[in-house]
Amino acid sequence: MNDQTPPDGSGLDLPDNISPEILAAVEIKAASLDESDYFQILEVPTDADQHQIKDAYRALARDFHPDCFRNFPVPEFQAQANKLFKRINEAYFVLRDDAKRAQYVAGITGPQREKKLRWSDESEAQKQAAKRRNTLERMGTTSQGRDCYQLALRAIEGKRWAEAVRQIKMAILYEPQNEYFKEKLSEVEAAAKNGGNG
Amino acid sequence: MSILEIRDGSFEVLSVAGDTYLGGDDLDDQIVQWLLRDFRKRHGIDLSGDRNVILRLRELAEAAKIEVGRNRIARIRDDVFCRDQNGRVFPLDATLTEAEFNKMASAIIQKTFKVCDEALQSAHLNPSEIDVVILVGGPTRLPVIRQSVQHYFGIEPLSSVDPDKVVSIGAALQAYALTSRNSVGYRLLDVTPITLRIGTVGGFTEKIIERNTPIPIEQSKTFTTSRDFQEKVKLRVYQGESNRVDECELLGEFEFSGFRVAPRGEVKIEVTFEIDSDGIVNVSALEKATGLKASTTIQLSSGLSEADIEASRKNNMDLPVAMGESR
Repeated sequence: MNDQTPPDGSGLDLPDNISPEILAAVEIKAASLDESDYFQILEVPTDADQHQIKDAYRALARDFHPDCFRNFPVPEFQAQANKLFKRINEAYFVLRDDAKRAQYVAGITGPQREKKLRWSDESEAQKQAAKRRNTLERMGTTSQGRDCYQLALRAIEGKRWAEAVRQIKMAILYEPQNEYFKEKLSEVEAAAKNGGNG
Repeated sequence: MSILEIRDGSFEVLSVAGDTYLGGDDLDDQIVQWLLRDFRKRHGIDLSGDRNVILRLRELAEAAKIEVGRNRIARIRDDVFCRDQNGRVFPLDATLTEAEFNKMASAIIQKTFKVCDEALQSAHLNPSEIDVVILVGGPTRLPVIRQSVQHYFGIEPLSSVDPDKVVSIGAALQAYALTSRNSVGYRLLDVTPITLRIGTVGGFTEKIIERNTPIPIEQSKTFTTSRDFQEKVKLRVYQGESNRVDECELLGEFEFSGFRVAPRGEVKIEVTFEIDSDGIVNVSALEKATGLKASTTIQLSSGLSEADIEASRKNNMDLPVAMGESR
């Protein structure tokens, strides 16, 4: 066999279990990987359920698992086949898990779609930091905000609704992004309407 | 334990779990301990420090285990078992009943089912959703084990395959699939069994590739330097399920340097772990700003070393598969 054998399968003595069509398909799919999202890579609609995802994965694995190509040891082709199937596995791994899938969909439907085509698990350190931020926000992230909020809580205890509303609104002035304060405000305003006094 | 979904010729591994401390030897050890206790009670002599005695007891224990499995009772006898300094001979004479043996085995069996729980949980399945149970290894012939399996899964384990041959039959089928030039109609879709991690500051690790991820696979995470004007980073690759370094196993490490020197947090380094379908791990570090890269290769060993495999090949040269051929 001469060294200049082209990697597209033409003119080669291919074994029965490798077809030129599949070889070509590998090259085509591998070329478009970096512009595709996981749904496109698995060839499923974005509302696919778990059964469809599994069936699609199984069908792709039948034709494109690297073990299919052991009798075609052309280095450039092997590199593409591996790159393709690694991405197929990655897509399957994310889409078959509901939580990961939700995170992924949020990423690709947002403004930074091109950057979010590959899913990456939030680091454990980041997760801890997010949890800590969450806890802090509930009480206030600025000292003035915290103080007003504390006064509001005391007013709530004493059912002094007007005062509570005043204090939370002040807290929100200091922390306009604090969603917990805003939620508490609606709660207190509702209670004021029902409760009556002040 | 491995859980597979077999459908349309595809053998997809859903999860793998294991306890390397469980096995037939452990049942033998239980019997040995029991024999030592019995001997001590009868003759007031503690033989647990004598290596030769332990070796002999292991042989007797293994035979007794098999006999108890067959006949529900085993008599362990050695009339000249040991001798003291005065030449006085002490015989060994103990009777192991099935009940006594089952008691010993139960602690080990409980551990086995903990492994099953773990594997089922990872695969999001209940024991009742398993359709077939295949037992692997000689010890699984013991009635107590078959009964426990039947109780846990609600079905009887398959008895049409020899538990001592199961692994080699599977390996042979896979070898055929890999070397055949014909379509075989089945394909193994394997996973990585243990989470791969990278060491970070403070004795912690960060997960890069989760266990039970289908392979081949590649995953990346971006990190930053932890000290101002750091000149090099040491990348340590671990495997394990804990995020603490002292609870994981170090697989390898390499140094990455030559990147931009800057205050901490400003240098972004993308670390990529790649596992190929032969279980080889490639780890690379990339400074995104400059494209500077370094990498290393780690072999995930699972049993035989390269030398063992080569020796096995040489010893079987008359088989076409050893020559890399197939019909």
